[in-house]
Amino acid sequence: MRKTITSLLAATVIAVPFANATAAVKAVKKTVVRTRRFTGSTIDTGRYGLLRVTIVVRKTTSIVGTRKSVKRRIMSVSVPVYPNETDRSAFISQNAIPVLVQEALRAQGARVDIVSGATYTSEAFAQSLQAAILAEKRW
Amino acid sequence: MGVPILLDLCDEEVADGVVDAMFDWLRWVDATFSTFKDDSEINRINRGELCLVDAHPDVQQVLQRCDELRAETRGYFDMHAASAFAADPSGFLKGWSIDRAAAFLQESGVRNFAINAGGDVRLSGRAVPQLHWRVGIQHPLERGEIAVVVEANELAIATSGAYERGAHVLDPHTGRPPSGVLSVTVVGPELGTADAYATAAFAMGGGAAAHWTARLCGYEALTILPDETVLATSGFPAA
Repeated sequence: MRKTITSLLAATVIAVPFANATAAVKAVKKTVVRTRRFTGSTIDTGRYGLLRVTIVVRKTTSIVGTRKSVKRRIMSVSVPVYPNETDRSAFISQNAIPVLVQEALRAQGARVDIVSGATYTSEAFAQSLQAAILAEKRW
Repeated sequence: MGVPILLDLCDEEVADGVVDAMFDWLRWVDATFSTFKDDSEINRINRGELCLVDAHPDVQQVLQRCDELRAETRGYFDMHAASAFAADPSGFLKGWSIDRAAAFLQESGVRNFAINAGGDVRLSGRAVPQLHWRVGIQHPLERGEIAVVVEANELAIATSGAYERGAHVLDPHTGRPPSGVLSVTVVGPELGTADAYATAAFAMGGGAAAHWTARLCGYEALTILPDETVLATSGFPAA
Protein backbone atom coordinates (compact mmCIF):
# COMPACT_ATOMS: atom_id res chain seq x y z
CA MET A 1 0.00 0.00 0.00
CA ARG A 2 2.78 2.37 1.03
CA LYS A 3 4.73 1.50 -2.09
CA THR A 4 1.75 2.36 -4.31
CA ILE A 5 1.44 5.84 -2.83
CA THR A 6 5.16 6.50 -3.27
CA SER A 7 5.08 5.54 -6.94
CA LEU A 8 2.02 7.68 -7.56
CA LEU A 9 3.77 10.69 -6.06
CA ALA A 10 6.83 10.03 -8.15
CA ALA A 11 4.75 9.88 -11.30
CA THR A 12 3.17 13.23 -10.49
CA VAL A 13 6.53 14.87 -10.00
CA ILE A 14 7.86 13.56 -13.30
CA ALA A 15 4.70 14.62 -15.12
CA VAL A 16 4.99 18.28 -14.20
CA PRO A 17 7.78 19.37 -16.59
CA PHE A 18 6.04 17.78 -19.59
CA ALA A 19 2.53 19.09 -19.19
CA ASN A 20 0.90 22.36 -18.22
CA ALA A 21 -0.18 22.91 -14.62
CA THR A 22 -3.87 22.01 -15.00
CA ALA A 23 -3.20 18.74 -16.74
CA ALA A 24 -0.63 17.67 -14.17
CA VAL A 25 -2.93 17.96 -11.15
CA LYS A 26 -5.74 16.13 -12.86
CA ALA A 27 -6.27 12.85 -10.97
CA VAL A 28 -6.54 9.64 -12.94
CA LYS A 29 -9.68 7.57 -12.29
CA LYS A 30 -9.21 3.84 -12.15
CA THR A 31 -12.22 1.55 -12.03
CA VAL A 32 -12.20 -2.15 -11.28
CA VAL A 33 -15.40 -4.18 -11.69
CA ARG A 34 -15.63 -7.69 -10.27
CA THR A 35 -18.56 -10.08 -10.11
CA ARG A 36 -18.75 -12.87 -7.57
CA ARG A 37 -21.23 -15.50 -6.56
CA PHE A 38 -21.98 -15.99 -2.88
CA THR A 39 -23.85 -18.93 -1.47
CA GLY A 40 -25.53 -18.72 1.90
CA SER A 41 -25.50 -21.54 4.40
CA THR A 42 -28.06 -24.28 4.03
CA ILE A 43 -30.92 -23.70 6.42
CA ASP A 44 -33.28 -26.34 7.67
CA THR A 45 -36.69 -24.74 7.70
CA GLY A 46 -37.98 -27.60 9.84
CA ARG A 47 -41.40 -28.35 8.49
CA TYR A 48 -40.63 -27.57 4.88
CA GLY A 49 -37.10 -28.84 4.34
CA LEU A 50 -33.80 -27.22 3.34
CA LEU A 51 -33.25 -23.84 1.78
CA ARG A 52 -30.12 -22.20 0.36
CA VAL A 53 -29.79 -18.88 -1.38
CA THR A 54 -27.16 -17.80 -3.89
CA ILE A 55 -26.56 -14.20 -4.83
CA VAL A 56 -24.40 -12.67 -7.54
CA VAL A 57 -22.74 -9.42 -6.49
CA ARG A 58 -21.02 -6.86 -8.65
CA LYS A 59 -18.38 -4.82 -6.90
CA THR A 60 -17.18 -1.63 -8.49
CA THR A 61 -14.04 -0.09 -7.04
CA SER A 62 -13.15 3.40 -8.16
CA ILE A 63 -9.83 4.98 -7.28
CA VAL A 64 -9.29 8.67 -7.89
CA GLY A 65 -5.89 9.76 -6.56
CA THR A 66 -5.85 8.44 -3.00
CA ARG A 67 -9.67 8.36 -2.70
CA LYS A 68 -11.18 4.96 -3.03
CA SER A 69 -14.89 4.23 -3.24
CA VAL A 70 -16.56 0.84 -3.37
CA LYS A 71 -20.07 0.13 -4.63
CA ARG A 72 -21.71 -3.24 -4.30
CA ARG A 73 -24.80 -4.35 -6.12
CA ILE A 74 -26.80 -7.54 -5.93
CA MET A 75 -27.31 -8.65 -9.53
CA SER A 76 -29.43 -11.71 -8.96
CA VAL A 77 -30.86 -13.91 -6.26
CA SER A 78 -31.62 -17.58 -6.70
CA VAL A 79 -32.67 -20.43 -4.46
CA PRO A 80 -30.70 -23.53 -5.60
CA VAL A 81 -31.84 -25.73 -2.72
CA TYR A 82 -35.39 -25.43 -1.63
CA PRO A 83 -37.97 -27.60 0.04
CA ASN A 84 -39.65 -30.02 -2.33
CA GLU A 85 -39.83 -33.21 -0.33
CA THR A 86 -43.57 -33.48 -0.21
CA ASP A 87 -46.25 -32.26 -2.58
CA ARG A 88 -47.33 -29.72 -0.06
CA SER A 89 -43.92 -28.17 0.43
CA ALA A 90 -43.24 -28.27 -3.33
CA PHE A 91 -46.35 -26.18 -3.83
CA ILE A 92 -45.21 -23.73 -1.20
CA SER A 93 -41.74 -23.52 -2.76
CA GLN A 94 -43.02 -22.45 -6.13
CA ASN A 95 -45.59 -20.04 -4.88
CA ALA A 96 -44.50 -18.74 -1.53
CA ILE A 97 -40.73 -18.32 -1.49
CA PRO A 98 -40.57 -14.60 -1.89
CA VAL A 99 -37.50 -13.95 -4.00
CA LEU A 100 -36.96 -10.46 -2.74
CA VAL A 101 -33.79 -8.50 -3.16
CA GLN A 102 -32.97 -5.72 -0.79
CA GLU A 103 -32.30 -2.54 -2.69
CA ALA A 104 -30.54 0.56 -1.53
CA LEU A 105 -32.88 3.47 -0.91
CA ARG A 106 -32.31 6.80 -2.61
CA ALA A 107 -30.69 7.08 -5.96
CA GLN A 108 -28.80 10.33 -5.82
CA GLY A 109 -27.76 12.41 -8.76
CA ALA A 110 -29.12 9.98 -11.32
CA ARG A 111 -30.57 11.03 -14.66
CA VAL A 112 -34.33 10.65 -14.49
CA ASP A 113 -36.88 11.27 -17.26
CA ILE A 114 -40.10 10.80 -15.28
CA VAL A 115 -41.13 10.24 -11.68
CA SER A 116 -43.59 7.48 -10.75
CA GLY A 117 -45.73 7.89 -7.68
CA ALA A 118 -45.65 11.66 -7.39
CA THR A 119 -49.32 12.50 -7.82
CA TYR A 120 -49.33 15.90 -6.18
CA THR A 121 -51.99 17.52 -8.31
CA SER A 122 -50.63 20.94 -7.36
CA GLU A 123 -47.33 19.81 -8.80
CA ALA A 124 -48.81 18.86 -12.17
CA PHE A 125 -47.40 22.06 -13.53
CA ALA A 126 -43.98 21.32 -12.13
CA GLN A 127 -44.11 17.85 -13.67
CA SER A 128 -45.10 19.24 -17.04
CA LEU A 129 -42.32 21.78 -16.82
CA GLN A 130 -39.87 19.06 -15.87
CA ALA A 131 -40.80 17.04 -18.97
CA ALA A 132 -40.39 20.09 -21.13
CA ILE A 133 -36.99 20.94 -19.67
CA LEU A 134 -35.80 17.37 -20.10
CA ALA A 135 -36.98 17.33 -23.72
CA GLU A 136 -35.13 20.56 -24.27
CA LYS A 137 -31.95 19.18 -22.76
CA ARG A 138 -32.04 16.26 -25.17
CA TRP A 139 -32.39 18.44 -28.20
CA MET B 1 -60.27 11.37 -14.19
CA GLY B 2 -58.88 14.42 -12.45
CA VAL B 3 -55.23 13.70 -13.16
CA PRO B 4 -52.90 15.50 -15.53
CA ILE B 5 -51.79 13.35 -18.46
CA LEU B 6 -48.42 14.23 -19.88
CA LEU B 7 -47.16 12.91 -23.19
CA ASP B 8 -43.41 13.11 -23.71
CA LEU B 9 -42.84 12.59 -27.45
CA CYS B 10 -39.31 11.81 -28.60
CA ASP B 11 -39.85 11.00 -32.29
CA GLU B 12 -38.45 13.43 -34.80
CA GLU B 13 -41.70 13.50 -36.73
CA VAL B 14 -45.24 12.55 -35.80
CA ALA B 15 -48.17 12.46 -38.25
CA ASP B 16 -50.61 15.36 -37.99
CA GLY B 17 -53.56 14.88 -35.70
CA VAL B 18 -52.31 11.75 -33.93
CA VAL B 19 -51.70 13.44 -30.59
CA ASP B 20 -54.99 15.36 -30.76
CA ALA B 21 -56.87 12.17 -31.59
CA MET B 22 -55.32 10.45 -28.57
CA PHE B 23 -56.34 13.23 -26.19
CA ASP B 24 -59.84 13.36 -27.75
CA TRP B 25 -60.23 9.65 -27.05
CA LEU B 26 -59.08 10.14 -23.44
CA ARG B 27 -61.75 12.85 -23.06
CA TRP B 28 -64.34 10.39 -24.37
CA VAL B 29 -63.18 7.85 -21.74
CA ASP B 30 -63.58 10.49 -19.04
CA ALA B 31 -67.09 11.36 -20.19
CA THR B 32 -68.14 7.72 -20.47
CA PHE B 33 -66.67 6.40 -17.22
CA SER B 34 -66.65 9.35 -14.86
CA THR B 35 -68.56 8.85 -11.61
CA PHE B 36 -68.64 12.65 -11.30
CA LYS B 37 -70.66 13.13 -14.51
CA ASP B 38 -74.35 12.44 -14.06
CA ASP B 39 -75.02 11.06 -17.55
CA SER B 40 -71.91 8.87 -17.84
CA GLU B 41 -72.58 5.24 -18.76
CA ILE B 42 -71.12 4.11 -15.42
CA ASN B 43 -73.57 6.26 -13.46
CA ARG B 44 -76.47 5.10 -15.63
CA ILE B 45 -75.50 1.47 -15.00
CA ASN B 46 -75.22 2.16 -11.27
CA ARG B 47 -78.70 3.74 -11.25
CA GLY B 48 -80.14 0.77 -13.14
CA GLU B 49 -80.99 2.86 -16.21
CA LEU B 50 -78.57 1.00 -18.49
CA CYS B 51 -78.07 -2.75 -18.75
CA LEU B 52 -74.46 -3.94 -18.91
CA VAL B 53 -75.12 -5.81 -22.19
CA ASP B 54 -76.32 -2.55 -23.79
CA ALA B 55 -73.31 -0.58 -22.58
CA HIS B 56 -70.37 0.31 -24.84
CA PRO B 57 -68.07 -2.71 -25.39
CA ASP B 58 -65.23 -0.82 -23.67
CA VAL B 59 -67.40 -0.35 -20.58
CA GLN B 60 -68.17 -4.06 -20.51
CA GLN B 61 -64.49 -4.90 -20.94
CA VAL B 62 -63.36 -2.58 -18.12
CA LEU B 63 -65.97 -3.85 -15.65
CA GLN B 64 -65.17 -7.46 -16.49
CA ARG B 65 -61.44 -6.92 -15.98
CA CYS B 66 -62.15 -5.20 -12.62
CA ASP B 67 -64.03 -8.32 -11.51
CA GLU B 68 -61.11 -10.52 -12.57
CA LEU B 69 -58.67 -8.28 -10.71
CA ARG B 70 -60.72 -8.50 -7.53
CA ALA B 71 -60.34 -12.30 -7.68
CA GLU B 72 -56.61 -12.11 -8.55
CA THR B 73 -55.93 -9.78 -5.61
CA ARG B 74 -58.00 -11.69 -3.04
CA GLY B 75 -60.46 -8.80 -2.87
CA TYR B 76 -57.82 -6.16 -2.10
CA PHE B 77 -58.55 -4.45 -5.40
CA ASP B 78 -62.30 -3.89 -5.32
CA MET B 79 -64.29 -1.47 -7.48
CA HIS B 80 -67.16 -1.93 -5.03
CA ALA B 81 -65.04 -0.94 -2.01
CA ALA B 82 -66.85 2.38 -1.52
CA SER B 83 -70.35 1.04 -2.14
CA ALA B 84 -71.68 -2.48 -2.64
CA PHE B 85 -74.27 -1.18 -5.14
CA ALA B 86 -72.22 1.23 -7.25
CA ALA B 87 -69.24 0.21 -9.39
CA ASP B 88 -66.33 2.63 -9.46
CA PRO B 89 -63.72 1.31 -11.92
CA SER B 90 -61.53 4.44 -11.72
CA GLY B 91 -58.70 2.53 -9.99
CA PHE B 92 -58.25 0.46 -13.14
CA LEU B 93 -59.56 2.90 -15.72
CA LYS B 94 -56.65 5.33 -15.67
CA GLY B 95 -54.10 2.63 -16.46
CA TRP B 96 -56.36 0.87 -18.96
CA SER B 97 -56.97 4.08 -20.91
CA ILE B 98 -53.24 4.87 -20.99
CA ASP B 99 -52.56 1.34 -22.30
CA ARG B 100 -55.08 1.93 -25.09
CA ALA B 101 -53.71 5.39 -25.81
CA ALA B 102 -50.17 3.96 -26.04
CA ALA B 103 -51.38 1.21 -28.39
CA PHE B 104 -53.07 3.85 -30.55
CA LEU B 105 -49.85 5.89 -30.75
CA GLN B 106 -47.84 2.80 -31.70
CA GLU B 107 -50.38 1.84 -34.39
CA SER B 108 -50.07 5.39 -35.71
CA GLY B 109 -46.32 4.94 -36.13
CA VAL B 110 -45.17 6.76 -32.99
CA ARG B 111 -42.28 4.83 -31.49
CA ASN B 112 -40.51 6.75 -28.74
CA PHE B 113 -42.71 8.26 -26.05
CA ALA B 114 -43.68 8.21 -22.40
CA ILE B 115 -47.11 8.91 -20.95
CA ASN B 116 -47.29 10.05 -17.34
CA ALA B 117 -50.79 9.96 -15.88
CA GLY B 118 -50.51 11.36 -12.38
CA GLY B 119 -47.42 9.37 -11.51
CA ASP B 120 -48.36 6.19 -13.37
CA VAL B 121 -46.11 5.78 -16.36
CA ARG B 122 -46.19 3.96 -19.69
CA LEU B 123 -42.96 3.82 -21.71
CA SER B 124 -42.28 3.07 -25.36
CA GLY B 125 -39.01 3.04 -27.25
CA ARG B 126 -36.21 5.20 -25.95
CA ALA B 127 -35.75 8.58 -24.38
CA VAL B 128 -32.89 9.36 -26.76
CA PRO B 129 -31.50 7.04 -29.44
CA GLN B 130 -28.69 5.77 -27.21
CA LEU B 131 -30.46 5.70 -23.88
CA HIS B 132 -33.27 3.80 -22.18
CA TRP B 133 -36.03 5.59 -20.33
CA ARG B 134 -35.14 6.22 -16.70
CA VAL B 135 -38.05 6.53 -14.32
CA GLY B 136 -37.50 7.65 -10.76
CA ILE B 137 -39.63 6.10 -8.04
CA GLN B 138 -40.75 8.82 -5.68
CA HIS B 139 -39.15 8.64 -2.21
CA PRO B 140 -42.16 8.07 0.08
CA LEU B 141 -40.90 10.29 2.90
CA GLU B 142 -38.97 13.05 1.16
CA ARG B 143 -40.77 15.01 -1.53
CA GLY B 144 -37.94 16.02 -3.79
CA GLU B 145 -36.09 12.72 -3.54
CA ILE B 146 -36.00 9.64 -5.76
CA ALA B 147 -35.89 6.27 -3.98
CA VAL B 148 -34.95 4.00 -6.89
CA VAL B 149 -34.48 4.41 -10.64
CA VAL B 150 -36.09 2.03 -13.13
CA GLU B 151 -34.47 1.65 -16.56
CA ALA B 152 -36.58 0.25 -19.39
CA ASN B 153 -37.86 0.56 -22.95
CA GLU B 154 -41.34 -0.97 -23.14
CA LEU B 155 -42.85 -0.94 -19.66
CA ALA B 156 -45.73 0.21 -17.49
CA ILE B 157 -44.92 1.51 -14.01
CA ALA B 158 -47.48 2.19 -11.28
CA THR B 159 -46.82 3.30 -7.71
CA SER B 160 -49.28 3.27 -4.85
CA GLY B 161 -48.45 5.00 -1.60
CA ALA B 162 -49.94 6.95 1.27
CA TYR B 163 -47.91 10.04 0.43
CA GLU B 164 -49.73 10.84 -2.81
CA ARG B 165 -52.91 12.52 -1.67
CA GLY B 166 -53.11 11.50 1.96
CA ALA B 167 -54.53 8.08 2.81
CA HIS B 168 -56.73 7.52 -0.25
CA VAL B 169 -56.16 3.77 -0.47
CA LEU B 170 -58.14 1.83 2.16
CA ASP B 171 -58.06 -1.83 3.00
CA PRO B 172 -61.47 -2.94 1.63
CA HIS B 173 -61.65 -5.63 4.34
CA THR B 174 -61.23 -3.22 7.26
CA GLY B 175 -62.13 0.16 5.73
CA ARG B 176 -58.97 1.64 7.25
CA PRO B 177 -55.74 2.86 5.68
CA PRO B 178 -53.13 0.08 5.52
CA SER B 179 -50.14 0.20 7.87
CA GLY B 180 -46.60 -1.05 7.76
CA VAL B 181 -45.89 -0.08 4.16
CA LEU B 182 -44.98 3.25 2.58
CA SER B 183 -45.30 2.49 -1.11
CA VAL B 184 -45.56 -0.32 -3.62
CA THR B 185 -44.39 0.02 -7.23
CA VAL B 186 -45.44 -2.60 -9.79
CA VAL B 187 -44.00 -2.82 -13.31
CA GLY B 188 -45.08 -4.97 -16.24
CA PRO B 189 -46.65 -5.03 -19.67
CA GLU B 190 -50.00 -3.35 -18.82
CA LEU B 191 -50.49 -0.20 -16.78
CA GLY B 192 -54.09 -1.01 -15.79
CA THR B 193 -53.06 -4.33 -14.25
CA ALA B 194 -49.86 -2.90 -12.72
CA ASP B 195 -51.89 -0.12 -11.09
CA ALA B 196 -54.47 -2.56 -9.69
CA TYR B 197 -51.72 -4.83 -8.33
CA ALA B 198 -49.90 -1.87 -6.72
CA THR B 199 -53.13 -0.66 -5.12
CA ALA B 200 -53.98 -4.15 -3.86
CA ALA B 201 -50.49 -4.86 -2.48
CA PHE B 202 -50.43 -1.49 -0.75
CA ALA B 203 -53.85 -2.16 0.78
CA MET B 204 -52.54 -5.47 2.18
CA GLY B 205 -49.98 -3.51 4.19
CA GLY B 206 -46.86 -4.58 6.05
CA GLY B 207 -44.82 -7.61 5.04
CA ALA B 208 -47.81 -9.17 3.28
CA ALA B 209 -47.48 -6.61 0.48
CA ALA B 210 -43.96 -7.62 -0.58
CA HIS B 211 -44.61 -11.33 -0.17
CA TRP B 212 -47.74 -11.18 -2.29
CA THR B 213 -45.91 -9.34 -5.11
CA ALA B 214 -43.27 -12.10 -5.19
CA ARG B 215 -45.91 -14.43 -6.62
CA LEU B 216 -47.04 -12.23 -9.51
CA CYS B 217 -46.66 -13.57 -13.03
CA GLY B 218 -45.19 -11.23 -15.63
CA TYR B 219 -45.01 -8.33 -13.18
CA GLU B 220 -42.21 -7.23 -10.86
CA ALA B 221 -42.54 -5.12 -7.74
CA LEU B 222 -40.68 -2.92 -5.30
CA THR B 223 -42.01 -2.32 -1.79
CA ILE B 224 -40.76 0.36 0.60
CA LEU B 225 -41.34 -0.29 4.31
CA PRO B 226 -41.55 2.34 7.09
CA ASP B 227 -37.97 1.61 8.26
CA GLU B 228 -36.87 2.47 4.69
CA THR B 229 -36.18 -1.15 3.84
CA VAL B 230 -36.65 -1.61 0.10
CA LEU B 231 -37.74 -5.04 -1.09
CA ALA B 232 -37.71 -5.81 -4.80
CA THR B 233 -38.66 -8.96 -6.67
CA SER B 234 -35.63 -10.53 -8.36
CA GLY B 235 -36.50 -9.32 -11.84
CA PHE B 236 -37.23 -5.71 -10.91
CA PRO B 237 -35.49 -3.50 -13.49
CA ALA B 238 -33.72 -1.16 -11.07
CA ALA B 239 -30.93 0.77 -12.80
